Amino acid sequence: MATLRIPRFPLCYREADMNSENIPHSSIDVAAIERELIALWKTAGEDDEHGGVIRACVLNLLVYLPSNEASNEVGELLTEVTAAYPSRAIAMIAEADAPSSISAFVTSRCTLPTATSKQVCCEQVTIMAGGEQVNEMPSAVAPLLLSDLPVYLWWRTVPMLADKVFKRLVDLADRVIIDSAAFADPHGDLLNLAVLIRETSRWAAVSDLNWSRLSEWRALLASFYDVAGYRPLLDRLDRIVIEYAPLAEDVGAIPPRTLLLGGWLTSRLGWQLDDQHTRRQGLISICEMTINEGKGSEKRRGRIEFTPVLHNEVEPGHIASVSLMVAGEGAASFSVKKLADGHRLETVVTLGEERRIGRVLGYGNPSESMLIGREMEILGHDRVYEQTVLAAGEMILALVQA
Amino acid sequence: MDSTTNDNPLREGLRLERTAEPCTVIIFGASGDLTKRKLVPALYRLSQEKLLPAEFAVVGFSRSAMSHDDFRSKMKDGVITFSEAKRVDEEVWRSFAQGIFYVPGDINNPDAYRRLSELLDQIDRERGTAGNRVFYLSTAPEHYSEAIKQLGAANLARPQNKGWTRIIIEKPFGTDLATAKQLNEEVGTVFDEEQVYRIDHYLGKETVQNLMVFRFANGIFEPIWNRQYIDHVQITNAEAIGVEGRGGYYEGAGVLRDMIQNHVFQVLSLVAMEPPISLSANAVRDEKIKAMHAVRNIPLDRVDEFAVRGQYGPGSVGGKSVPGYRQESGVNPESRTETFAVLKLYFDNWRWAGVPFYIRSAKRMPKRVTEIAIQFKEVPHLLFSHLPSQQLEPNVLVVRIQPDEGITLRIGAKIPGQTTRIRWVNMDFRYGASFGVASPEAYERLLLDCVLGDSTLYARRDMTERGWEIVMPILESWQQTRAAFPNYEAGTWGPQAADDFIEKDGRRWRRP
Repeated sequence: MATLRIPRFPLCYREADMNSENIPHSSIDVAAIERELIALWKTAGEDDEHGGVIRACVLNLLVYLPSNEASNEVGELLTEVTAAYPSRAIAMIAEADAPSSISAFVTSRCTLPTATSKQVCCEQVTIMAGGEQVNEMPSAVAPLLLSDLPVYLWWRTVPMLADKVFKRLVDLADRVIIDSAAFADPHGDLLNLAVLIRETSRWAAVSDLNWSRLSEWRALLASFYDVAGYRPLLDRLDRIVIEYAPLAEDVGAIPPRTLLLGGWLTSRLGWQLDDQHTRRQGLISICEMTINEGKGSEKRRGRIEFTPVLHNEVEPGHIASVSLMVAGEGAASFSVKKLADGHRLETVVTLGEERRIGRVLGYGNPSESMLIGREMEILGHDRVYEQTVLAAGEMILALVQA
Repeated sequence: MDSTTNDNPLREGLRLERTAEPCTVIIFGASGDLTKRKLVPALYRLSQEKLLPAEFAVVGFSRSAMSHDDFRSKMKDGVITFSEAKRVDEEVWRSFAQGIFYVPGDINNPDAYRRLSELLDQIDRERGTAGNRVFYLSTAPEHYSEAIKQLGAANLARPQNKGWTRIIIEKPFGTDLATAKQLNEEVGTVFDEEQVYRIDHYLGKETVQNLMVFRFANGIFEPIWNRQYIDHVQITNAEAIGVEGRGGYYEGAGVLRDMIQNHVFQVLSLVAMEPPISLSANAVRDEKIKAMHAVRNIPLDRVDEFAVRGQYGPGSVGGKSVPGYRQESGVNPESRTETFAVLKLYFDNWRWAGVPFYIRSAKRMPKRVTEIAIQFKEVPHLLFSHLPSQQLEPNVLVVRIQPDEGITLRIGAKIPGQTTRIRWVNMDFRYGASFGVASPEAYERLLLDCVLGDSTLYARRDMTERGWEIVMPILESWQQTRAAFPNYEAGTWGPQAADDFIEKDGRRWRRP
């Protein structure tokens, strides 16, 4: 039994006395898996050393991996995630290019007991499929889901509507978790995501870990306008500048995170893209916007600029700074900037020439397991995210055509 | 929620849904332990969680001579020592500390309040705190009246420049009904009730808040939450520790004053209350006080029928020998102060008529535990009458508040085999097992609520006075009569009299 230790949740990992020999390679015996899970719990319950265990489960977590390469990494992530959100985890490892086969095994993941708490365990079923059998994974998963508990599908590759396995798994899920930071083709894949969200708006809810990474930026930008004195200036914004570090593998592309932040700001502010005037000016991408002030009022102009910066201290694909500006009389600027070491954010407010009180706050780069955990706390559609992706998709289209 | 800016379109969908308005928190008694242990670490953390705006300041006020920088340095030590992270990022701390100030002064010196007022005006101008102020009384209780009077005289209690002013008052809120009423009167002459936040850190605990969710978000419990199905309720609030160097304070308090009339009664009211019409502060507090008004008053000459007291002698807790209460530092060797108390209360209303609520609170118990046990009535007709009586027990629902927060339902199940035998098993929900995420510190939640103008988790004037009204006959009776103290050994579940007290009713104490 291997023992993993992380600060708050001491854990142990136990594999059932079950191996793939018990299960034919051409199909999975779901009843055998359930039998093995029961046996696993019985063994754990008889564990005198730990005085029995508490089996806890608040959700079903399906994880789809397009290859075996990341399975160890995902195993460790699941250990952390299930410690915070006890789940029945079902890991699906798909190797489309491998010979046709399918097999499964079960494991338990347990927190070690403390002086005041018993051992808490949850279970994992791993299904490995190759070749044609990959398509059978959804039907193997469906009977293994614990009833009445929400189902989260963590899809560790690009979501494509044309992918039958994806579509069938999404049918089983209440929420699909993706990570747009891992998109190989940042613009193309984000456009596909926009299509998926538009086409499936009445279907499963989508979570994006990359969107979750923007939470701190969004919270700080929003907090400027929680101050009553600054609130009117939000309605007068006319220029947004987002500085970002380009992706190492595609320096010409605006990274998905940057586009999401831009899409969030324009969709929340109700700005409409003027695709006729969207353009690239050197390395800077500029999207012109029209701002509807309400019935009977004239439309204003606004713009959002995406500016690549070559700061060594900002990781590729990350945001370096965001500035929201008001021009003309009563000019103002509200900025959030990542400081040199990348672990702090600084907020600055300037009204005219006067620099108002700002602050420096810690910026945690949350781990993947923390991000997944955040997603576990919500179930319904995140309409703000969906509108953000649609707005980002429009900007990508306009920029491609510019 | 008047401080949350609902018309900010960038706020929509953010998981950090509440952020406070600009303000200054002024801590009276700032050189005391609570400030560095709890208050400033909580404010620092709220700031890091981006729940406080940049336009925020903390002002310490106390008698000790200190500069702003001395105070900042002391608070930094507190944050490092008493926060979970045990470290601070220097640059982040520097940014936060720019908003920390200190005013030395006597609590009864008007000149100190003039200097405080000048500093607050300066902070408003320089840090944009908009005249919004929270005064936090963390001094010794005997200074509350003077501080309130001086704040009024210095015109600091009234909102400034279209801002708001609030005051948080730490426990104890009086030492009996008369002093609580007097304090309330004094507060009321200077502050409106809407400005007053009487803190009870128990209400900041996640599990206490979960009581409302448990009762009113789960349809299956409400229909059985009454006299038809519930036999009795036991609320246990046990501490394993003794007086921990606070003998001097505890001598004038005792467990009835220190724990029961405030913390335990808050929990009691959440168990007994009717569903509120909304979650607004006054809707919840109206129902709580309505329930507490239904508590049957205890006649002075019949206190022994409703209460038992105790005091611990030497013993052993957690495998370690400990002194008796009378041997503790600062304690009178012939002390009559109770460290153990049991109460039996009845609610004279339709929901609870005839259902006793047993309350047990004490120091030097075998372990630290706070829980509510709802014991249901036995089944109306026993099909399994051939079984030994010990196999036939009623269902019990236990809400554990601390430690290992959770909810357990005890049910009977058939032991597999050819014969019918029943085993009692627990269906467990453990917070720590189902939600492996840390709960915020009670002070974080309560401070944020105050800054946001949400007083739901604070005690209202009528509740503090009702708490005292209920315990006054007991206090008076115990004051007038002698007790054979000590009457229980440290590390046990209390005196024999407490067991006799409940067994006389045909019931027994749960062993938590």
